[in-house]
Amino acid sequence: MELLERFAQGDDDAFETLFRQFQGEVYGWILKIVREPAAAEELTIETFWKIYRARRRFRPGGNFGAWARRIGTNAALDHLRRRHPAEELPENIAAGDCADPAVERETREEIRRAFQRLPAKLSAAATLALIEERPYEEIADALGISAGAARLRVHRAVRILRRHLARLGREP
Amino acid sequence: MNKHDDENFREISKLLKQAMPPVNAEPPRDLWPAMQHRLSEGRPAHVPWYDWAVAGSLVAAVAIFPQVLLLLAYHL
Repeated sequence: MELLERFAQGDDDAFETLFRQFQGEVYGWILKIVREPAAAEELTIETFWKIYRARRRFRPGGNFGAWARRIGTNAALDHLRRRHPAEELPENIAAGDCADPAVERETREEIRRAFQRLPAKLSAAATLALIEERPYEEIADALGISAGAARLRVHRAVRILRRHLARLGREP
Repeated sequence: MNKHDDENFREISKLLKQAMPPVNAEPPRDLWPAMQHRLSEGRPAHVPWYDWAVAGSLVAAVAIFPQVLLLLAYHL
């Protein structure tokens, strides 16, 4: 019997084989979204726990990797929502002289902070598209939305970040 | 999406990568032992066979001698 078929029927050995086969991929994907190794480890376990509980709903003809990535993405989004509730960007941030490395560092820190304040849905799409350069089709599949909707989320994230950079005196 | 948007995306992408470099990592350790621990936590507790035997005997005793129920109620 095929591995995925045995997994869907509740075979624990098949689950272990799939876990060992996909743990790296799922961990790597979640890490790209949450950017914290310890949280990524925890969320990988959580993702496979959800996979284990939902195994009877898995269609053996389906793509296990894509399914796991989608469940992992949802777990990562929940984590981002808990960690960074969406809040207003601070007003009146002083513009910096970008020739100064210390100010550059400060600007990078501000960008990072502004990015973390983005709503989870936007920050996940923007991380995957703008930093990790994953294709929109892959991002859309993991987020369970269309490629157009994924692009729109990235666009909205860019608009918010540009506004923030303008306050810092940086006009991209 | 027009050319201006693409330029914006590229510029923001560059700044973001400077602030938060791309990550590409494998788990630092095998996560299977942690997974096994999670699985054992989530499964319903295993009830040993002798507990089932005691429970069965009690049910049988109550069915055959209903007055045992009063004795049980007294002791519980």
